[in-house]
Amino acid sequence: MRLSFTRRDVLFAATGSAAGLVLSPVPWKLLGDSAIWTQRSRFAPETLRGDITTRFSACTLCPAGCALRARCVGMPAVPVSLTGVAGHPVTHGALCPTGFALHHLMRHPLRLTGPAQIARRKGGVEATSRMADAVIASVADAVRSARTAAKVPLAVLDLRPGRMASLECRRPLAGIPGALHVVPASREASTFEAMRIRLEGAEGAVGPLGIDLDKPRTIVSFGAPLREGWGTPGTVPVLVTRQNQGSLRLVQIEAHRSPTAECADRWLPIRPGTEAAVALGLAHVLVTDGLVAPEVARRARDLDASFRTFVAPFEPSAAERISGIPASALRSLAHEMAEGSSLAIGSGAPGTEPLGPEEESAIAALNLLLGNAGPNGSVVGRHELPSPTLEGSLATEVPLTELADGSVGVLVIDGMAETVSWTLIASKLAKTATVVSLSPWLTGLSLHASWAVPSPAPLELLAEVLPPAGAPVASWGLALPLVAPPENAMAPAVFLSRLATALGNTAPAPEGAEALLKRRAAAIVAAGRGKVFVPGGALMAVADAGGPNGLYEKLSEGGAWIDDPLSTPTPLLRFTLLPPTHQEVASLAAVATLGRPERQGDAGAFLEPEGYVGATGAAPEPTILGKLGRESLLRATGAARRSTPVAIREV
Amino acid sequence: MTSRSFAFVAGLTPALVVGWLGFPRLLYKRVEQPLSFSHKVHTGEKGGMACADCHALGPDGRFTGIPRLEKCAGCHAQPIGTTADEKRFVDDYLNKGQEVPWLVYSRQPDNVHFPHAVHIGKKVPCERCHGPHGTTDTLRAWQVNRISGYSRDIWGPRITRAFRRPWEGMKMNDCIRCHAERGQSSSCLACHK
Repeated sequence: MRLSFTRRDVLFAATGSAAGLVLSPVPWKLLGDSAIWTQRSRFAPETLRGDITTRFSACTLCPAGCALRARCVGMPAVPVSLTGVAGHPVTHGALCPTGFALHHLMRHPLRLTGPAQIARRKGGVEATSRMADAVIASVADAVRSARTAAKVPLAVLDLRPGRMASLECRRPLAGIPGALHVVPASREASTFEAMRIRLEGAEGAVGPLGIDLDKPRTIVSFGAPLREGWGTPGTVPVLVTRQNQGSLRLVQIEAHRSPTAECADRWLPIRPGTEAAVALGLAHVLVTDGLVAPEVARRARDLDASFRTFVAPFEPSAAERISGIPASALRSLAHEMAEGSSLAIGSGAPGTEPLGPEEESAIAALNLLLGNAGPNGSVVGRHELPSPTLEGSLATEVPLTELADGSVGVLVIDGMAETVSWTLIASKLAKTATVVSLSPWLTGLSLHASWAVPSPAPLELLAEVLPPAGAPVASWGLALPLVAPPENAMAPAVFLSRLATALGNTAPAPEGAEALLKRRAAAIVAAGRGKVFVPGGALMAVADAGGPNGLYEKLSEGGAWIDDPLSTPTPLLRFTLLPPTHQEVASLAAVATLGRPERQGDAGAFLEPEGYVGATGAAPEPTILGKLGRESLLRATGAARRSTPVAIREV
Repeated sequence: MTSRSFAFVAGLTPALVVGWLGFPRLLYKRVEQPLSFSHKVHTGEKGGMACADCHALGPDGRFTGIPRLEKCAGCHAQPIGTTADEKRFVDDYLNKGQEVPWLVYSRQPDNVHFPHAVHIGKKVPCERCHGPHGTTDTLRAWQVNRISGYSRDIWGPRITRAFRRPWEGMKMNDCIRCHAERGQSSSCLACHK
């Protein structure tokens, strides 16, 4: 028999082969393995092998300063995973999603590894590497030019003031004529700061204020992201527990349905920029319905004299016209606040401009009316963090808001957290101003700079952790370096010292972070207050810590120093309800009556940044956030969508 | 049978043979272990040892994995048996202070964090994941997936993963199934740090 194959038979054979392969594991297994291969190919980081060690540090991306426990591999040890420190008295072992992936950010594509010139192109910015000497010479030239063209030739905006490193930056500035050290207002502490300046202490000014979170039965939040890590991420579990137990009621007054609004017991949506009208509307009800406690009325110097007159126009119906919140809702909320211990917090929502001083002023007045500055109030005083004195002269420190508009010739931005809006910063710049960013990443405020001289990123430098906003007692911790910084990264003090030299001044050499922090440790030991927390151990008195070196050593091992509370944290103080100056009172009235037209646009599309409010904008978002965002409670629902700060800016 | 059917079957049959028999052999590369090792001798009546005698948790609570030389040297400073492999172990590795480059069958991918200590603490027997490995007389060849780079033990011995025994396969689904059986959490961050 003779078999003859036609082309059609070959086609059938090929079809049979294809069918056979489909019925075999070949395509399916290849599909799965190829997917794994793409994750293991050369662009994926190699996993380290070696001895596993545990080291401690802290996340300094934002002022919360969460304590970190790092699982490190190999020698030199490289951190491969981060967790919180269980039992930590300040951060309670919590971390925000950005903090969990902090070690990823060291190798992020937007990381700057050396000085660069920033140019704005259509669709983004472009960084071109430059030699450090060339950048410093260019900035020095800009300062020289600004001496005649601008009122303030050089200003250094310190986004994290109060650190020993801040003091060290002020030393070289002191020798430069006209140079200023500028500090912004803390977004999260602004409500308490507005309260503090109205209080009259027995011995003059009152110290910093914080919250006793166990006290308030109702918290009225004006956009503060309380369920997203306000203050520190560690406050979230405290609030969640109290809400679940029914001992705390959270009312969120916010234009958008944020995650905190979703988790609140009541969400009152308002028109953007009308927070002052709502606060004064609540104050109006408290005053006119006789809900102010007699004790509070006695201590308020201007309740009857001028405050009652001031809030008279803000009756609930007027506040409704301005804010959109029904008058009945405002009235019932005011009564609810007066019935039990309650607290109002400002700061504004993440992803939007911070509340202005006028809104914070109105919220502060509301708190004072509610008796929050008294023995039964939720706002408590705390000691200042002990600080050593540095030898030599220091540059003058001025608040950012006090700088004249258009006055700054060269602005150096020291820090990465986008806690100040660029709109405010830009208003202070001269027309031909030069902006220098010291951020480790080409994100946030550094996108507006002409020059970038990256400083070491968190986990790459020795830093200190100051008390977070709203903390009821002072605290102090250390953030130890776990990885080496890029060769061309430069600490801010070193940059400023070299800039001062380039300008012909003899700046003292920076003392170094360790020496400065040991001075702080000595100051704390000398103060003799507080206790020392050591991971896995009990709290010990600071006197038993082994002196300044012993304290420093314990803090290097993941410990923290916690101050004692004030002996009388909330004494009976006199206060004024209205701001101190006529100009501020007029400004408050105008903002409350008209709202902030510039924020009305916020009512449209709203993309909320992921991550903790303080860390947002500080750094590029780690990719793991996308996964966490989809698979956890961070997922937004309803009309809101979450995105990265970069995407939001582009929109 | 028509010529068309014959052609179809003629194409189908070799494809099935290649797909089911040839492909797995091609996909996995076989690498022999540097030495033969009898778990049976160590854990049987003669040795009388338990798994944890060699594969122990360290003083910091972490699993130490395959024992290092000093552990073996406690008994094998000199050959105590008659096998060539033991003699080679003593001469080529122990006396030279060189660790044996064992190939780990159950090495999890890099993105997986598997804490032995937690599983031991929950009284999960070693055999649940490692099967009768502790009673084998020789070490089988280590097989690695040429594409994914994973050990074959992660997928399991059968390409279909059908009719597999509880310890055959260490894929994520296997972990999730075991966690579900024991009422344990299967959150992402439990294993993917």
